[in-house]
Amino acid sequence: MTTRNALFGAILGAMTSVGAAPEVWAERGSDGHLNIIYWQAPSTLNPYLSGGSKETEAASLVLEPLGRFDETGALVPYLAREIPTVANGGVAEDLTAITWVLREGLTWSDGTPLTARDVKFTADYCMDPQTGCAQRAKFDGVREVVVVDDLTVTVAFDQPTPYPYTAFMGALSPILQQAQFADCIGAAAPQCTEANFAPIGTGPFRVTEFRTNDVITMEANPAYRDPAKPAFATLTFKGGGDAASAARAVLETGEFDYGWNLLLAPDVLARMATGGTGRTVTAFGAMVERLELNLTNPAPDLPGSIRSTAAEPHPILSDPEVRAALSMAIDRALLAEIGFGIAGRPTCNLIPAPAIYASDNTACLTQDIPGAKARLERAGWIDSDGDGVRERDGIRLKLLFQTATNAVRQDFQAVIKQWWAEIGVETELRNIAPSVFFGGDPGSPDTVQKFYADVQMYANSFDGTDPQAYLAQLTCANAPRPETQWQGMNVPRFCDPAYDALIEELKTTGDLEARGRIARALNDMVTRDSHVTIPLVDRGRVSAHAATLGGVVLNSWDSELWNAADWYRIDP
Amino acid sequence: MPGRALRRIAVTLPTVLLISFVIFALLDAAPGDPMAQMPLTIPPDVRAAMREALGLDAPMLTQFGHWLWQFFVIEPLHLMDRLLGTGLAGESARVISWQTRAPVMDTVIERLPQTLWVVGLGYLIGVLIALPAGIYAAARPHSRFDRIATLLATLGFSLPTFFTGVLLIVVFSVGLGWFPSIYDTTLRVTSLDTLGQQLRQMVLPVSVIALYNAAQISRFMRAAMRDALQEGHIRTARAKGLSERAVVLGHALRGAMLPVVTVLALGAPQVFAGAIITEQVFRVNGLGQLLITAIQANDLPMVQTLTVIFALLIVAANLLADLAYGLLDPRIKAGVDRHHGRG
Repeated sequence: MTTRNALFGAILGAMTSVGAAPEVWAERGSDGHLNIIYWQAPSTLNPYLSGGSKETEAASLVLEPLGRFDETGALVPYLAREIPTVANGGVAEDLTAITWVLREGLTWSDGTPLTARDVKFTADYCMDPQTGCAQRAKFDGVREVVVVDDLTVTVAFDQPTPYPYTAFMGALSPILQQAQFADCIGAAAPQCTEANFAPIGTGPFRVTEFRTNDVITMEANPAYRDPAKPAFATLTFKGGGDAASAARAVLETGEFDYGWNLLLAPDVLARMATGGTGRTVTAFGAMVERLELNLTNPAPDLPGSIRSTAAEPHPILSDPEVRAALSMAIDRALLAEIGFGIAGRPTCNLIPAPAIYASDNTACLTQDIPGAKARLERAGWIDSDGDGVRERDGIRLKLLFQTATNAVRQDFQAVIKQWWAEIGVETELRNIAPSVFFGGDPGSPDTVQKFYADVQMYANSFDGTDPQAYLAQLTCANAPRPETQWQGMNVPRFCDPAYDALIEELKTTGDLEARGRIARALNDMVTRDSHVTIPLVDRGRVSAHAATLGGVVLNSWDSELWNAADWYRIDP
Repeated sequence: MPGRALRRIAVTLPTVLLISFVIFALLDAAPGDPMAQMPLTIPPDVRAAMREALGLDAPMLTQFGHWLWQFFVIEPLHLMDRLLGTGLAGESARVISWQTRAPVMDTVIERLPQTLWVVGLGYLIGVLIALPAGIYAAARPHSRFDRIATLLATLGFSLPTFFTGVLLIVVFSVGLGWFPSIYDTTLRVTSLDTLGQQLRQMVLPVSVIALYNAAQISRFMRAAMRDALQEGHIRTARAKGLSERAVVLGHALRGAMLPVVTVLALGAPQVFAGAIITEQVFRVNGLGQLLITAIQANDLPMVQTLTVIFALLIVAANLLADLAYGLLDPRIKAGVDRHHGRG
């Protein structure tokens, strides 16, 4: 143990010596150095120019929004005095405006005051079409942002907006300092390397050095609003490598205090955590690994204008009985177990959380192979030639099942293929490089949107805690097709006027209870009632922290580092 | 000699241009999209606006011409400004990475120290082990030393670095706790203490790279030396009664070095290209890691610039190797074409 300490001591100098501080919450910077590892390295610290979680999370140590989402998905004021609502008068009765009031006396880390003008500037920055802002969607429907006084700013919308907590909420939409970014707006945005690499913020830390795609060093922000925080004087944010070695550095060697997104084989992670050096933490959000079934015909012999469009229904999957049978044949609990361990739980819902939007739909959780067979049988799909594959009217029950290249997904494909074989469905498997599959290039035949296959699998979720925009993706108009350059995320090409009508109702409903009811109904329409999407696993986040790091509250609705100001060193 | 060198240099220029264009065309034709790494929650119209902001909509030849101008004119001017404090480049736009929105060359320069320290040292140590080991093994073929060297070389050759790297981490970082498993690029050597830290964090990655390089080069050295020892003038030297040491080092070595110099020279640019896997395993985050992350992110300006720099280095190394032949083999220096002169 002494050799070990001596050697680590030399390397981790500051980190190990700070254990001496007795009262961790007493004083800013009293807990020394914090080491964070992200196995994907941040390439910039301006979340408006990236969209990736590695960048937004790193930036969340420095930049802050008006409000964040806590670990339950609830809204918590940060730079704002309170979360505006209709009840407290912050949101207009007609739902067309929201007025934010900043806390008094807030300053940037350079000592200058934060004002409502910085908030307005942030909106101008992102809404300038030439900025190429990754978070532009946060400002959709915003007519203008008006500075009322130094501490008050009003966001006016084009139309009634029942859920106005998009702009300036959460890690994706923090406030930038006008003084620093004034010359970086529009086409000049990418040229401002210095500002993008070391933004001035209001958060608990400020940047001392940024090395792109490698490492960031930070120190406690001397102007942070709580004089006792953060407990750590300095921090190193190291990036790069792979999840396994990041997990090793936190759970086995103890070189790092916090490791992000350690989605490893469940048994590997469990074995690493046995040493007691660190522990894993999980949190669930709305990320769902699902199958999507193509309701249109992807046959390669069809012309490009018709293939995989509403012009030609799918010869097999337009039969709802087949879709139901495919869902029934799957053992979701087993998939969650083999694929994600502690970070996965089986689900039948497209919207598994927050609780108010989650349907009580659990029937699919029990695998039912005989039931699936009976359904196919009843629908006239019979294996008449004894080759193990059913057919009807000369059409064989054969499906092409594609997904992105990824070890867990290929395991899933193999198991699902086996289950489907048991009910008489033949499956051909295919996997595509993630950068192509998710690339959205309209010229490529292999994208999620083009869906030149019968079944595909991937995971998706929604920003923030409100599923309206996410559910609205499944309206008829959002089906990818040649006329839209294959854009749109109604990937199954689902089209039901009742669904579209309910979406319109959701868009004008302000009451939270009613919104929950509508969202649950919409969820059931595409899952339980029609099996257009077949949810498989509700995927959580897994991260790990050293046993000596206290205060970590894993949050899947905001940055994982959302409460880094409250982190402290526990005396060993 | 100068004429020959100039001729060689003249040939390299179109080579470099051609390489640049081929790389650019390949990258352009390759599937993938710089927006692919972004979360699906970002809607398509936002993606389209971002693509436009990056200049992705311009035709390929325009983009290539633009890059060529920036890389061969603007960037060298910037480098001069940086070194000499001049203001030649002014406000002209540099090659900007799509991922980081920062000038590509700044990142490259930032990455050079750790790459040279770790990969360079690994290569150097590999060579320093390989040459004597190869020579000794060739001078005493089938001896115990030769057998052990062959065994180690086979191991070094066939064990992939992602295996040896992780193995070393598990034994020396996790098990024994002697060395860190993650390289700290922010460490500045200012005292004996920090020098110790620097050396300690270099031990594992340098060992991995040195083992791999030593394995390859020692085999070349051994084979070349075995060939050289078969030559006629060696028999003459031995017949004159020279000691074996004098025969090997004095007479055979010079000839044996000719093919080895080629291998060494062509291997040297690899130092700059980084050891992609070893850098990933130990998070050295040098040029190799930079290249692989740029490829994953479809960051064309970064990939293009790095690959062309590597191509330039390889062309330059080729040139140097060619010129070094002249020193080792006077027949080449005298202008006798090797093909004719040696039959």
